[in-house]
Amino acid sequence: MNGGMPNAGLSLEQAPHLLVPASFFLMVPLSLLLAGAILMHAGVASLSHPWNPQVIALTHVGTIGVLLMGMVGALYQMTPVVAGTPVAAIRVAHGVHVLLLTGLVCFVWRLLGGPAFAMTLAGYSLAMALLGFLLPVGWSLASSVTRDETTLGMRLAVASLAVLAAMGLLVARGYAESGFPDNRFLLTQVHLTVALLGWVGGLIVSISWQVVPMFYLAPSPAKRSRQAMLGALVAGLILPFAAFAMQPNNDVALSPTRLAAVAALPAALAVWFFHPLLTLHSIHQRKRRRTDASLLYWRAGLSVALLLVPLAAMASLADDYRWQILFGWLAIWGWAGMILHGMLTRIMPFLVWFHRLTPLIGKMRVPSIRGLLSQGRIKTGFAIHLASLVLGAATIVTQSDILARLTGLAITATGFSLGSSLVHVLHLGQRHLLQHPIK
Amino acid sequence: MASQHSESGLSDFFSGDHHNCDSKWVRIEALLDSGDSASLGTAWQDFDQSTRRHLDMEEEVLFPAFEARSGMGQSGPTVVMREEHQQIRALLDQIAVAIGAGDTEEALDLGDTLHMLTQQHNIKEEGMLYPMAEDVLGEEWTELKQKLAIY
Ligand code: HEM
Repeated sequence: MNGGMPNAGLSLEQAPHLLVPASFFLMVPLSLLLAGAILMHAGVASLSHPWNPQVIALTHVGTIGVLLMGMVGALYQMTPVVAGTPVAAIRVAHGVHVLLLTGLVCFVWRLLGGPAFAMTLAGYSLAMALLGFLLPVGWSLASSVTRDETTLGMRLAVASLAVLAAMGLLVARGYAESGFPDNRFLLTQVHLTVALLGWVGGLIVSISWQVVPMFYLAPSPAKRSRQAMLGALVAGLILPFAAFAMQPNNDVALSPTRLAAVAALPAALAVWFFHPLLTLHSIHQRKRRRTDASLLYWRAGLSVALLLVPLAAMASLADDYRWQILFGWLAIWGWAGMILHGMLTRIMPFLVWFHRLTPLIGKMRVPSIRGLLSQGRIKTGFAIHLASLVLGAATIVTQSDILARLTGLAITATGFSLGSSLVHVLHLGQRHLLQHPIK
Repeated sequence: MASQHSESGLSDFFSGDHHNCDSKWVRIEALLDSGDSASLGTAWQDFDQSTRRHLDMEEEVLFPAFEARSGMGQSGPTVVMREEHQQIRALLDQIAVAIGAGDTEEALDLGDTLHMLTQQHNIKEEGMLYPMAEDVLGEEWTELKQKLAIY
């Protein structure tokens, strides 16, 4: 009788302690302060050439410090709810948190001129952090009986993280003075494809299928179109690996690196064309007509996504390296960063409210979720984020040093705005609990 | 083995009722926004009653049948679901007070909160509890449906 039943679903109270997601979420504004400092200190060098160490440092403050930290926190929270199975050994998450931060700091330190052993340390810390995250979360997702597209997309994202990390670590050995692999450029190309499309794309797409209909009562995309998007995503993630079988050649037009980039097209179209188009349409048709401030972020991020396929094409065809930087900037800070920032302004007040205030409901008047973080604050955060995005794009086009430093200032302001919002929410929830202790 | 038909019946019935309540909340939000206080009273009553009716149907018919059949009483998923139902009822009370006092912003914000609370609750029910209930109650569904008809 119990054959098809999820055993772990015996209790539906599986959410991790508030501090697990919150500790990762708090790393997001902290990383923004670090990104701002790099931009203000290194100036336009950090938005110049793709192989410039300052650029790689800034990229990873964005991809590891902002995106990965936020997404890991969200996955610890969402996996039990969506997959119906709790994450095992959840205490390990605190170790993952410390190791990720250590890894990031050492990675950046080395690229900004630190000693080679900093990269060795970064490699070990990141590898251990990711194992500590991937094993339990991957296990929970893999053993879930839920087979819907959201769970499939989350599995794809988590698997992509394992692959991209392995490739990143291989290349990173070069910065630890252990020698770059022969196919460094191809490895880097596939690393960033799997990272942006499989890990970030897989997660944004699959989580949007869950939260956009839920928060805004917007129509869900048809099952067939969700399946088609997942199919295209998988195809575009596997095909680039064929380039590893090619003999290296000097033909720039048909180099393995370029072919790997072209082979990712099905995934790029799914994530940066069909998904934003369908989601923008569904948001337009939502039943809850009120414009919640978090919608600003979704709309902006999805609109930026629509620029990414043409930009990626220019980045791989044109000689001017500014296309590559512009593509990376808009993908990381304009698309994924924007959506993540918006989600944090919605998730964090909800989690604090859910963990700290639900026990008080019925015993007293409780504040609303919006009462914990006002719409005004969320809109201000959006305006500063948008300003920094535009400033960064202008910096890349003009290669102006002063604009780069201004961009750094704007990113720092975004970090302060988000950080103060998150701390404010935590503090309010705590104060409420202290003022009204549960007897 | 339960028939395919009765298996899909339980989940569809309760999930459909979730969507029904969602649509009713959408109407209230629109009325609060437009300041149409004449229609608000009836729309609110309709939403309030439908939501409470849904909670009652689960607590008085579905959960006891599920607990008896699955043997999961005190430690089972219905414990958390019942707790959340209480929270939903208390929030409904709080919104009614705000609407009564003409405090539109407060009513909208609390309504948004209720929406978030019920949505995460519904995911758990639709994703886990209903499929489990369908597994164990498939054969009894026709009978249970008759009991639900009086609500
Ligand atoms: C374990 C974590 C990671 C490590 C060790 C790592 C390592 C590296 C290294 C060493 C490079 C430079 C390649 C070279 O010099 O040839 C690189 C490039 C890149 N990585 Fe990662 N990476 C990691 C995670 C990520 C993540 C999570 C993302 C995205 C979500 C990402 C996106 C990128 C991008 C876009 C580039 C190209 C940068 C540029 O063109 O300047 N990486 N990565």
